[in-house]
Amino acid sequence: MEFTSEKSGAFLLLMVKGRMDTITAPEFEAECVKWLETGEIRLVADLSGLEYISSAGLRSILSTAKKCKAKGGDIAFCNLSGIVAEVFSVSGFSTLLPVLETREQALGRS
Amino acid sequence: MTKYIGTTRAALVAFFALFCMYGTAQAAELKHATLALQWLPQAQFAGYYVAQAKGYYQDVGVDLTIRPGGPDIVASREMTEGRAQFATMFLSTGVELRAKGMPLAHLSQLVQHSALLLILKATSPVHDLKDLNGRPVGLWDNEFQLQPRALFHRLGITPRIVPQSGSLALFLLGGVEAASGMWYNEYHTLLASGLDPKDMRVFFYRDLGLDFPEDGLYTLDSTLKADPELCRAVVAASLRGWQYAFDHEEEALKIIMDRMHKDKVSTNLAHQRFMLRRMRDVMLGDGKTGNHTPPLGHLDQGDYDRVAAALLEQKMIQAKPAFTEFSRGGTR
Amino acid sequence: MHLPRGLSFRLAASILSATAVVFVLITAVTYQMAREALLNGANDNLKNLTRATVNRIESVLAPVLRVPRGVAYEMEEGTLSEAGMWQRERRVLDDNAEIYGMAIAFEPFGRSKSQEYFAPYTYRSPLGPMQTNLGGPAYRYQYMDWYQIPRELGHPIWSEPYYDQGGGNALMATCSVPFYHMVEGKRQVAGVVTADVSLQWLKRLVDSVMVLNTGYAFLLTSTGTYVTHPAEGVPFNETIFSRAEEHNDANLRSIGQDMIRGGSRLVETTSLHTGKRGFLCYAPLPSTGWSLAVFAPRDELLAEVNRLSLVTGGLSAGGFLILAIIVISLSRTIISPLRRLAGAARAVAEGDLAAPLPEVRTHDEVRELADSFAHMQGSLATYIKDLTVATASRERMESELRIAHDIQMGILPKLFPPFPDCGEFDLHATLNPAREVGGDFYDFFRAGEDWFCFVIGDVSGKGVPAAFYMAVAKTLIKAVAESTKKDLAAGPDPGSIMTRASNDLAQDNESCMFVTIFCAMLNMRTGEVRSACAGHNPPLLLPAGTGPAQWLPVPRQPVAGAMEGVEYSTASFTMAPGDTLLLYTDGVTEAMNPAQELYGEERLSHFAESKRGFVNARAMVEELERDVTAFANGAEQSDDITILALRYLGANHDAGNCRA
Repeated sequence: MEFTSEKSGAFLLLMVKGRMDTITAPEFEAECVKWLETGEIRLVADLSGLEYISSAGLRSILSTAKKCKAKGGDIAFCNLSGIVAEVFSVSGFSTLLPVLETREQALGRS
Repeated sequence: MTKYIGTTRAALVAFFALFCMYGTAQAAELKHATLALQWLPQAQFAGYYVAQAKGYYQDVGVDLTIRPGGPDIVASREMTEGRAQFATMFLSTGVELRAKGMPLAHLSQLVQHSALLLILKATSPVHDLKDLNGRPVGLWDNEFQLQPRALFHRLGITPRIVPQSGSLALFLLGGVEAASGMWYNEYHTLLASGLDPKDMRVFFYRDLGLDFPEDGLYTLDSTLKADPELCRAVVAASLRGWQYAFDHEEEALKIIMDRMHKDKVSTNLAHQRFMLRRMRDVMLGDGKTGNHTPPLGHLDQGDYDRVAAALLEQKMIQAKPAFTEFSRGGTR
Repeated sequence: MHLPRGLSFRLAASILSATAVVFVLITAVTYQMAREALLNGANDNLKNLTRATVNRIESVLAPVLRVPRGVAYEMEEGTLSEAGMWQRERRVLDDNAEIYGMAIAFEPFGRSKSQEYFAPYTYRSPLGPMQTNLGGPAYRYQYMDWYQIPRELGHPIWSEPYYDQGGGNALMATCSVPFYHMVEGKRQVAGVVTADVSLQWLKRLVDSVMVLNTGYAFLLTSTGTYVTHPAEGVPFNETIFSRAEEHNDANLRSIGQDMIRGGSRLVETTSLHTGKRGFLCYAPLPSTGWSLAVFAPRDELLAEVNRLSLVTGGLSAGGFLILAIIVISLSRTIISPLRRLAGAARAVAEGDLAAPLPEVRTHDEVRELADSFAHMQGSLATYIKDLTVATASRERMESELRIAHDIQMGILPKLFPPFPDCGEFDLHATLNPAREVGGDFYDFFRAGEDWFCFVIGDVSGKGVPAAFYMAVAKTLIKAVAESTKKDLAAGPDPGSIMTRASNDLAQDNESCMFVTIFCAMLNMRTGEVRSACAGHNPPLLLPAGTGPAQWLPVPRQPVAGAMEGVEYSTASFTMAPGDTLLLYTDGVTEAMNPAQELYGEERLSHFAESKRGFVNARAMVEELERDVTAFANGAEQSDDITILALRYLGANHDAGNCRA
């Protein structure tokens, strides 16, 4: 997976590209943990470049969300599409975690 | 032991004595005779040497001695001087001698065709024999003069006659325009001196209307009258010898070569082989000449007449002897 | 044992055959070159020998001509009287050792008209010089070659050699010179002066010419007659042409013709005398017109070369042999450890890890190979040891997993029909984990007098972690269902069960695993079904009769156990008798075939509809299982397959005493 990051206001915008499966899932958690440790506790993950996500990916996202919460921050997701959006929907993650339609919406939160 | 040897010895002596008696008894029945040949031993006389070696003369009760001829020997004189009962000579010689009074009796004609040649070099400017006029021509003596003289007379030419010895050196060196030679002898000598047939221009007298028979067997009248059986026997054995020689070439050649070596006459096998084969041609006919070949031993009267006529013409004889007086062989 | 013969043999064979070719080439080329050089040298020698011999002969013969010629001039001067002639001849003999006799022969009747022959002749005899007059009826010299030829040709001539009986049978030749006088103004031959020369020295000279072992020389006259020849009986009997005729040798005839024409040449030919092939060098003797030839046999000429070649060949062969020995032994020393290594490798491959490796003494690539091999052997032993340990532990784990499998399957209710006395419904379920243990589960139990609970769930992931979570989740749901049974007067509430179960699961969920669950309660009397769905696949309802199969319109709520505080709602519908509810996990719908096609909801729906006339729930479950397997067509099962079918038969239907 590839990650590009951008600071936007209070948020740290993370662009995710690739696949999140059993093998690559830990990379996402590791990347977010890295940012958390630098003090960026409010993360926004732009998943427009994410092609695929498995249950391992979901676990990784859940774990990341818990870690953010533990640090007093949070992680939001935006630009879900295709199978990723479907998985989020079916699993109900879109209810459990903040999932926005657009990046602007995600970054425009308080 | 001694007794045994003694007995054997006696037996041997007795046997030997018997043998001698038998031998001498045999020998006592043989008639002695001598044949004088007209030249040195060579295949020209193969028949006689072969007959002698094979014992054909003995078979007919004749103990024959052969006296070879040579440069200083005249066969007819051997007879007249009593050293021989038989002799060989050319027909022309026989006729000439008879005409001049020698009581010669012709017994058998062996060589039916003339083997005499006139040999020129291929490089010679003479293509027509008439052009020999005034040029040096090598001629042999005696009987070998008849045909050339007859030819020159007929052609109306007078070449410069150069007496030819037994050597052809003068001809080879270009000293004479033409040389005389026998087909069975000098022709091969020239071949064996390095001349190829294409290097020579050869004229056969037999093709020039001068086909005179040559070698024949003769005796004196007296011998014939005294013992006609002997004469018949000698002729028969001689002819038998000739036939055998023609049919057994290699054996005949060996006999001749042995005799020549013994008499220290220099020669080689190739020369004698050529000679023997040509003798066959002139004696039995080679089918090449257009002239008719009489049977071996038979003297054709026509041939006799032509030879006599030529001798008369050349004024070598005055009168022609009667054929019946001359030819006494009569055998067929 | 093909390897040693193969490599060693090939190595040796290729090196040796290459060197053999080189050696043979060297030998052949040197032979050729040496032969040519030798032949050229030999031919030069032969030419020189011939020339030298000719010169030696000429040095004696050529001056001879001067003597009779001098006398001829004197005769022409007319200064010699008869006595003078005798004296002159005598002096010639005294002054010239090589002249045996001299004659001054006049033309017949040339000297005096009354005397035909006048030819004073002085000659050597054992008693001293003798004098005689030649000529007579028996010796008509004017017809003899020695006189006739110079006379007719008009120039001096050498006779053919002859054996002179009078002179002790010595080999002689006569040199004749004509002399002339003027007759009526015309120059005419007056006579011939001759000098007889003994040729014994010549015969000895030519006979003694030695050429190698069987070479020889011979002399021909100008007519090709042999004067000398190594073979007995040939001189003066044969000419070179008669010999050629006898042996049918046309080549010899042409050589003879060239010789008598004064040719000077070196030709290759075969000797009639020895039968050997060789070189014939001939040259003329200018003064006499005779010809000398020398024959050198080729094989003797080449004897030197042959010896050289033999030596070269022998050295080559010897060197070749040594090389062969070296190459073969060298290749053996290379191949032998390789061979032993191969043997050791085979032993190792067959299991003897401790097979001893051959010792390699050299410090080369073979040694490297042996060292690598030893290293490999050690690593292999270690690896196998580790593997054995790992295998042992894996086998242990596998056996534990098998036990775990049994345990896991054990916790699933398996008694079918679960309540044989309850005829209100027909239930069957099956679970096929992808590995020994899996994350799928189902459950069913009595939940009160009229209520029957059935659950299906799917833990995220596979294997042991999912199995643990599955066990917890299943047990938890049942426990919560049991504990809330008495609380609710209105009957069970799957939604609240789910809420509580999810919260419990979410607590201390370090692994962040979650589970999808479909939990339903069936009222056996009424057919009412209350359900809650936590992110699970909506079950399929196949109505009795002809209606299409439908997906239960349950609200999709989040997966359970992910986060605390998630509230689940309860949905409700009623089943008519004969309706069948088909629960499944995504192992069914997401089963993939080799073409990477998914089984899919549609196929499931069609399957269900096709089974409308089925016999019982068991049949349906088993058939569905078979259908999925058939669809998978050998592709690996990637996810647990769980199927639960429940057919409501109605309250009236054989109530029995299932309300125990």
